[in-house]
Amino acid sequence: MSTDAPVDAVLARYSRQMLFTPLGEQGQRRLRHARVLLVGCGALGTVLANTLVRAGVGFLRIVDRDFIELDNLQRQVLFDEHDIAANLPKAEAAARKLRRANSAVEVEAVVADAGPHNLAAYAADVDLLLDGTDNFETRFLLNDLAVRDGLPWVYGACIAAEGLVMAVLPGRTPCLRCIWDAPPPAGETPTCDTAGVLGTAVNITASLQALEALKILSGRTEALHGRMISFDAWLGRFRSLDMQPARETGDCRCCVHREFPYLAGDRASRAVLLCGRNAVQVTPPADAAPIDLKRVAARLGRDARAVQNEFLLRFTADSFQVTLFADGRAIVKGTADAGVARSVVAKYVGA
Amino acid sequence: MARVEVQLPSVFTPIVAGRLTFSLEAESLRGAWQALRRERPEVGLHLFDESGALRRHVLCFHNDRNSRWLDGEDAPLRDGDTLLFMQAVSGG
Repeated sequence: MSTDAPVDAVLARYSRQMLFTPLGEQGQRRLRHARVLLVGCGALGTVLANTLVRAGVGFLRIVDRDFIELDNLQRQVLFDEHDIAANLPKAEAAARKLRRANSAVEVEAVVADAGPHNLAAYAADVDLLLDGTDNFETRFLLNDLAVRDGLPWVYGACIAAEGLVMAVLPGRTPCLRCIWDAPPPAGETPTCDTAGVLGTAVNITASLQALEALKILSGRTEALHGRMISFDAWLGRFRSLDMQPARETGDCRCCVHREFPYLAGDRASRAVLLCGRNAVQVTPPADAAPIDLKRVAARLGRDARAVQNEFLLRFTADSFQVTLFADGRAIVKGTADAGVARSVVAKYVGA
Repeated sequence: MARVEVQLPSVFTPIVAGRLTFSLEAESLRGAWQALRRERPEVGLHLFDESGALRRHVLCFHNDRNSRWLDGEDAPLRDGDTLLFMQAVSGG
C-alpha cells in the first residue's frame, strides 16, 4: 500500500469494526498508533495476537520462550503442523502468520524467557501489556512492572472450562495484588496440564482480554467496567464481580506501598543446569511455602507414573522425568535448557 | 439458621462428584465456613488452611460481595444467600 493512499483506503479494511459506534473512526485511528507488548504466545497469546493484529493495532511485540508441540494445536490458533515440522519457536511462527493476516501491523518476535532481568526493556516503548502467560510468577511480575511504570495491563487466565479476566489501570482500578497478595504455593492450584483446558475457554478468556485492551488503546477507558469477569463456559455461569472494594479498603503492598519484589527478582525461581546430567534444578523463591507432595501427586494423571515417598515425588511428563522435593525444588531430567525446565515445572507443579 | 447455597468452581468436579452447588445451614459467614469444613472436609481442605482461615488464593463472595474486603466473617446470612468460592487461576 502506498504511503500517499487516502486515509480512508488504509482504514477500509476495518470498516465493520468502525461501524461499531463506540469505537468509530476516531478509535480506529488511535489503534493504528498503539503499541502493545504480549508476554506469552500459547493458548491465550495466540488468540490475543490474532485479535489485536486483525483489529489494527500499530505495533505488537511478542515474547515467548517455548517451541510448538502437537498437543498445543487443539487451542493455540496461530500454529499448524508445518510449524512443528519446521521446529519454529512460538513467537516466530505467530509473527509469520500475523504478518500475512495484516501487513499494515508491525509485528516483532522475541524468543526469550520474560523475567525480571528483561521485561522492563521489552515494555519500554509500549502503551499496554497483555498477559498470555501460563504461570503466576510472570503474572505477578507483569503486575509489578505495570504498577511501577503506570502502564495498563490485562490479566487473563483459564483452566478447564473456566476463565478470569480483569483490566488493570494503575491508580484507577485494583491491581492483581490488591486481590491476591501472593501466588498460591506451588501445587495448590490445578494447571492446564493437570486439569486440562478447553479451546472454548481459552477463546472466551482471550477475547474478553482483547476487548478490554481495545477499549484502552482506542482511548475509550470510560467503557472499562472495573470488574473481574469470571465464567465457567461448561456450566453456563458468567459473572462480573466488583473488585473495586479491594482497592478502596485494601492496603496493597504493590499499588499503595509500591513494593515490587517480583520486578526486583526477589521472588523469582532459579534454574541451574546440573552439569553432565542433562538435567536442570529449578529452585522456588526463598520465601515460598513448602509443597504438599500428596496434593501435587493427586492432580497428576495415571500416565505420569508418579512415585512418592516422604521426601520426594517423581513423575514423568512430556518425556521429562521430574523429581519434586518437599522444599519445592524440582530436578527436571531430559533437558539442559533452564527455560524448558522452568516451563515443565510451571506446567505440572504450578508456579 | 439460614439455608444458603454454596457454589464451587468447576475444577472441584472430581472432588464433589460433579455436585458443584449444594446448600448448608448457618447463621453467619464464619458459621458457614465452619459448617463447610465439618460437613464437607474434602472440600474444606482446598478452601481453608489448618486454622480455618480462607486460603490466600481463594476468594469467597457473599451475594457477589467479597467477604475479605467488605463484610467481615461475622456477616449474618439470610435464606437464599449465595456463597461463591473462586480460586486464582494460572493457566493460559
